[in-house]
Amino acid sequence: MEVAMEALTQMFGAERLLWLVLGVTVGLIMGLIPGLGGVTGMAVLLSLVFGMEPETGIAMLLGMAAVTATSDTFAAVMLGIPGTAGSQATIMDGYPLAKQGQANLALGAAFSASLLGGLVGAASLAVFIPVAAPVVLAFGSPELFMLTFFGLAMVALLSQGAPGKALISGLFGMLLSTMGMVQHTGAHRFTGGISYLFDGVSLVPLAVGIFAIPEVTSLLVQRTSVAHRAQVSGSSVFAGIRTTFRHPGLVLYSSAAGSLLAALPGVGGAVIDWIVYGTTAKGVRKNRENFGRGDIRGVIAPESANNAKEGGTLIPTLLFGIPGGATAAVLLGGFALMGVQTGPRMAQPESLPFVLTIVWTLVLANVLGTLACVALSTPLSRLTFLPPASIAPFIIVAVFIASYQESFRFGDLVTMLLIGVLGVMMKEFDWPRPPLIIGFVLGAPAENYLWRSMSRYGLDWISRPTVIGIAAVIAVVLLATVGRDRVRAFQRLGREAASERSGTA
Amino acid sequence: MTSRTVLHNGVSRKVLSLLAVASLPLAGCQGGEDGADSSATEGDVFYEGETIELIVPFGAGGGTDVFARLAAPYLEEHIEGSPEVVVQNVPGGGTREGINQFARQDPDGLTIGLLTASGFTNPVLAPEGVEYDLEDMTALASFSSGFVVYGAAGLGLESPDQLRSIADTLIYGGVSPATEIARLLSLRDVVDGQVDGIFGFDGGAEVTTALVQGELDITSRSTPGYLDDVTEYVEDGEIVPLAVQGMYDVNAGEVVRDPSVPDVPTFGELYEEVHGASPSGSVWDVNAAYAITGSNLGRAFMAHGEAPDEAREALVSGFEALRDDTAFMNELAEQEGETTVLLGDEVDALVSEGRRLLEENEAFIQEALAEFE
Repeated sequence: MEVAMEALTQMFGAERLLWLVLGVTVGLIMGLIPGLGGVTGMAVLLSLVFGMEPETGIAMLLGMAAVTATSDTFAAVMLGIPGTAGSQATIMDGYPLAKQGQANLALGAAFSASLLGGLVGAASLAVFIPVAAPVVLAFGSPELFMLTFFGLAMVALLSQGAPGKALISGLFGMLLSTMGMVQHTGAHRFTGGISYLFDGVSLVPLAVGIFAIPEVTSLLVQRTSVAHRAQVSGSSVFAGIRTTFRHPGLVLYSSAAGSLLAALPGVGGAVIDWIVYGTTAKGVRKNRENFGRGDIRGVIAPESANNAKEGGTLIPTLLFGIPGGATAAVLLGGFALMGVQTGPRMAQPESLPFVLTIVWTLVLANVLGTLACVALSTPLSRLTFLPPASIAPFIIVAVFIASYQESFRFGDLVTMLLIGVLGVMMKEFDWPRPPLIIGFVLGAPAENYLWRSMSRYGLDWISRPTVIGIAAVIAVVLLATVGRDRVRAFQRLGREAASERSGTA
Repeated sequence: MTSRTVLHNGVSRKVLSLLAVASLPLAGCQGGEDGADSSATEGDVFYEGETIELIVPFGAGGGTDVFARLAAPYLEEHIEGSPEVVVQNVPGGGTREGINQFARQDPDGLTIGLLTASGFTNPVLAPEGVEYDLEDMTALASFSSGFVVYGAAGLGLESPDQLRSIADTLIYGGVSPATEIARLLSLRDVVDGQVDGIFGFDGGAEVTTALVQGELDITSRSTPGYLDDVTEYVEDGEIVPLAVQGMYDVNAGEVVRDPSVPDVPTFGELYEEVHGASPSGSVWDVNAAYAITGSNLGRAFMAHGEAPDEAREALVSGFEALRDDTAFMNELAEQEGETTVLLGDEVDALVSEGRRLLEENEAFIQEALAEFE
């Protein structure tokens, strides 16, 4: 315990705090501006890290990483644009709320959920890192494949009543993910000799194209501002904060799920919030019809998970040097530049001060970030009342920048526009879009893990206990959610038929 | 146009113009593809007041990137004229994208490219998408980096005697066969038994974890990564180092040990210990080829062949000073272990030799790689 307090007091050393604030500020801006996202900010800050004291450098880098998960909510809620990959699920209910003039409510709920999630994530890092190694080691290629498959199965939960379309959407996403050159076999798929396509389709142009372009288009076509109602009605940010506190169970579930899923290498950040959103939307007892149309719980769940995963993802990163995502990869680079050794030693007591520094950094960053975001909420939410002619050009510029800034390739813009057309059509004809993203993000890892499993074990891996265990969990989750819907629908049909008969009898 | 200072709901024009202004810097930020200066200043010192762009064909945060970022500030000091050295990450296509981009830049001496093994092997073994020609480049300096092959304890990998009598099939796992085929082939020759290869892991950390989990029996990893993460396991007795890919010694004409892990033998030495005779055959030429491209040329700084002579001279001198800078070399050694630095013509000679060996054995290599397609 004293170690914890000592680490905390060290955090307040002026220099370290300064760098933390710098990191948080950069993180706020990066998350705020749609598409800039975590990796760019990390790369920018990376050059500053050289030669720094590890604690200071970490304060800055983590400060940045932790806060983008909070500030990316602005673009998601107010404009329907994913600020980072992690905020995609927030759009589902956050954006409709903004359309109803309730942006403040959504933002307030999101930020408080983010804060709580971030705290849980930080705590889970401290609690689990000493014991996580054997658990992480228990997940070999077959188990990782099953986890990815679990993520893919979530497509069923996000089908919004059209399972056939959801399946096709998801499969198409997986098809897109196969494009490119396969490193370990040298095979070229759908590249057509165009060197841009060697790496396949990039996630940012895809996500931006499939979510943002349709939204901007509909704004312009319908000539409405984001919020349909003219007056600044709707609750305040603080009402939103209070709402979060009224759902402690949900926050706990989402944060726990977020940090634990992130702790397992192979699941990947972009999907965690979808898994949490999907299970929440289908799993809650009462009033499920509003999900997708502005249910505040659909904002609280993914936002908690989103921030919690920043803590969880550090577990495999620190213990095994396996980054949970792109930002963690850059963080590892930062560690190397500062001479920080990662590895199984992180689980030992002698590394505890270092781990706690990280934990407190996450805590402080989350707190500072949330305070800043809450302060910015009310002024920024007025953007939702702007007429489309004013706001759309800004969004379009932001969207182009978002797609281009990742690797400065013209092809990314083409991709974004083509996918944008697809997104507009999907929105128009009511084809669910989240399954496409999920299929895309999980397609490559799923194939990879399956390939490795089959190469190594033939078909024997199917009988491994953990594999069977995860399969059972998938079955249970699917039955409890989608299955229950079917049963209820069936019962309802039965009752209607019965009442019809008794009516006409 | 009617003038309105207040639009809907009190959001004034000011806010909008603020937004517009705020988006402009975004458009400008990170647009650093063209060098700020496209012509060198006339004057005594070529690089005075200039900015050198160092193109790294990897994403930010990876091993090569870290190396480049470590070296950049020291280079700024040591190149005459104290130019700014800016690292530009251009990932994509397995180093093709970055090196292609480097090749496309004007040969004005203001852009350097950092090539790694695949930069040298791809033109021969996987030329699709390669738009550069090594003949158009000249080498400035190379920093060696090596690879260590290691396996799980308890499988009979601990000593040559045990290696001689391994009965079971061993599983070698790696990231990509194109980079690792030499190690696998050498291993198969040494062990004489069946060694299966599985590829498709994401990186050094993943394969090490897979080894510890028992999913793999043998794997390999870059020396810096080995020194960072694996030595712990070796100390605990869980992992056993087997051999190094090694460095190519031009004078001796053979592959020698990696200075950062001097206790680990080369495959050639291991073969001799196990079989009592010197190894021979195409496998060992391939071994040498990969030692050159993967180890000696592990981090090779290249300039355009047509860059001005004074630029090249200034750069090579700069790297020479860098090599002699004990502060830097110590820092590098801490990060990555002992590195051998070669300059200018010596590196060019290695590039040619490596290319020659690859081309001569190309069919053999392609046949070996075909197993994994």
